[in-house]
Amino acid sequence: MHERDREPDARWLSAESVPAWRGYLGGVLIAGGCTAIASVMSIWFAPTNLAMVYLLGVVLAAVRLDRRASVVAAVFGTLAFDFFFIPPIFSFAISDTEYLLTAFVLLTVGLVISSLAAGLRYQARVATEREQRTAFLYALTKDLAVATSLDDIAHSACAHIAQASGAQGLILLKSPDGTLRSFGNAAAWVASVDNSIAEWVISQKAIAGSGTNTLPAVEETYLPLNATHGIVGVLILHHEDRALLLLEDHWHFLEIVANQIAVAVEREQLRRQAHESAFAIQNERLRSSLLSSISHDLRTPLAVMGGGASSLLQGESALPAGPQRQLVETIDQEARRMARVINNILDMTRLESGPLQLDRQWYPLEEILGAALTRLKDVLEPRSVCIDIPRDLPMLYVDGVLFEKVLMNLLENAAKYTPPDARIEVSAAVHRGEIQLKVADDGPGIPKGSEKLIFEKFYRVRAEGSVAGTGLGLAICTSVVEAHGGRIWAENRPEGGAVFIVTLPIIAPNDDYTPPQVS
Amino acid sequence: MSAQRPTIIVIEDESQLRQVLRLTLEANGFRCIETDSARQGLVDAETYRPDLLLVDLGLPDRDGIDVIRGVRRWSTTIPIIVLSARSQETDKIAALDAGADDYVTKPFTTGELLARLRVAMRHAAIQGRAESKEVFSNGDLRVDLLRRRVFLRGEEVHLTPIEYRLLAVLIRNAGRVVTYNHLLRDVWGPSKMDQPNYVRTYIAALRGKLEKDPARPAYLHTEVGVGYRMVAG
Repeated sequence: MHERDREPDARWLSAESVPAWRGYLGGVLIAGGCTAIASVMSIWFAPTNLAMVYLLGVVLAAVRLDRRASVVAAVFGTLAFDFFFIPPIFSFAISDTEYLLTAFVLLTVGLVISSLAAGLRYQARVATEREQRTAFLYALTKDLAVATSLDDIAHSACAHIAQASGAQGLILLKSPDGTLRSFGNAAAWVASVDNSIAEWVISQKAIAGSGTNTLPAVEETYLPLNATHGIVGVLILHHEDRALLLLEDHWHFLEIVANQIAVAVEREQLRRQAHESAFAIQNERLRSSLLSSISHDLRTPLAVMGGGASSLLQGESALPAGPQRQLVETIDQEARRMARVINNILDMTRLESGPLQLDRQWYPLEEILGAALTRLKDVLEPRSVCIDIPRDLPMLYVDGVLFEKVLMNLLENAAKYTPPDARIEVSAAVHRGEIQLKVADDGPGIPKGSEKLIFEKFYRVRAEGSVAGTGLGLAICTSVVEAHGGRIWAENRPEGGAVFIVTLPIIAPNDDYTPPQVS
Repeated sequence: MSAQRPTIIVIEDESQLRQVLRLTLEANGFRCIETDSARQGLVDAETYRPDLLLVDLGLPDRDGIDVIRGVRRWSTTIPIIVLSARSQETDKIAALDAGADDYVTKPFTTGELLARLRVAMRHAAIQGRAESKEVFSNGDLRVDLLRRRVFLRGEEVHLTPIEYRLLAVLIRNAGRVVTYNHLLRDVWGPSKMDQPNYVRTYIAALRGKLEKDPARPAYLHTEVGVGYRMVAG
């Protein structure tokens, strides 16, 4: 992004192209050269014609060197022409008035040519500079437009400034709490940056420091970053070449750069704000649906347990043993249900709280499935569970504890939404280079159009009541499966019932694990 | 009379849970001493020399694992059972590797808790007498530990030496969870301690030979992320 490979010649903000002494020397040398050529030509030509050689010399000086050179060439050329070729030779006196005119025309034309040529050169230079400046601004805006953080913006702006003018940049930005944070360069001079100057620049919206009228003795130049909604920060520049600060053009350049940075910073800050508020809104929505979900799912079992316990307390002797036992069993069941609900909520918060740390190990699918079935024995009964896992199924490289949760949630779901005489089928196969795992049932299936919605957090097929749960189970499955690089989705089976499909990439055991040979 | 009853020290900071535990244990013929901190628990354990310790992992003053280590410093035989929350698989392993005999996950049922207590105490009693059973049998499975022979429904099953060693370790600890580290150390030796995959592969092979339906094991249960448990005969 930072075109560091551009030639240092690309610096278009240089004071003068040719030093003054070279101009004068060049003019004198060209005049001398012309004299030499003319002295050879004087054998065949009349002196008046030799003036043309000097005119050519002036044109050459104007085109190749600068205005100084061409003026010097014109003046010295005229003098040399007078001295060497106009009678009386070797004297500046002019005997013939005709020659006086020649000398006068030579000088005048020489001066006019030099001023015209210099003007052309100047215009050409201005045009090139404008072109370079446009290219520079284009590159700067392009880089700033794709910058995705304040650091990015600062770095690419500083890189562009350094490339164009050799100045090192540092950007101080106002944080929401009013303090200044620095971005960009970390060069040694940064230590001498004075925050109080920066604050003054922000409050006065004015430039300060080196090259300005305010605190000109300071090493750095401070420019306010003025965006549409006020000052966002300060651009601080450290110039190696202080002469640049004397140029109007350079100030113009700095102003444009500061504006571009200010706009980019403001855009980034607004984007961040929008992102944060969207996140806050989503969080708020999540929290409220979590609350309503929890309050329902916890209140129901709580009411059952509380009611059961209090009637046991009151009717201690009055209740016959049968109903007493029934009440206790209900309390026990509801307590377990509540434990599952709370576990799901805890799982979800853990999955959402940050990037998942997977503890991946090699597991045969039977092992995790077996553990899940054992844990869910009470929930699944009396439904029949039919298992079809080929013996040569590759081992799964998964986080065992989390993947067990996926299987438990899928099995529990199948149990929850099917009648007691339902049949649940768990099968696995290698399909198109992936391990495909299916949990199918022959229950009522998923309502048309909800096949995707059911994976959303808190979505429940039946709004409230008949089926207990947080609506988090499938969202947990999605998080875990996706963290393993797999996919999960649901379909209705053509023969009736729902099927949940999980795919996992087949991972080849690498060098740190070679399966032991089992005979 | 009361001196005959086995003594259990319960180290748990939740008073409600402690009360339920005390009622349950006393109703089932145990003598129960309650403590709510790790420090007091260690003192009580030395004073009363109980038959079993029930330790909560999340104690207010110190980690429950410190209690396990503290007790193991002077007694290798007193059974210790850990009470833990569901999500603490790594803590469970740490507790087991520090010397706990088993764990019960909260919320637990009384049946579960009592079964674990009995297995742990029986195991301690056998170890105390420095002898072990000669024949293990559970359902269709019969293992002759002296002759190193395994029978399923009366027919002999051929196991590789490693498979047999694995089965034998699990049987010696029948009813208790055995961690991957424990199995690796006892079956393969200390050089293979970083290869839990070995255990899983051999367990899968063992299940293939012993279980009717490996996905619904009758003998060899998996505690995902922790280890395996042989169902006690």
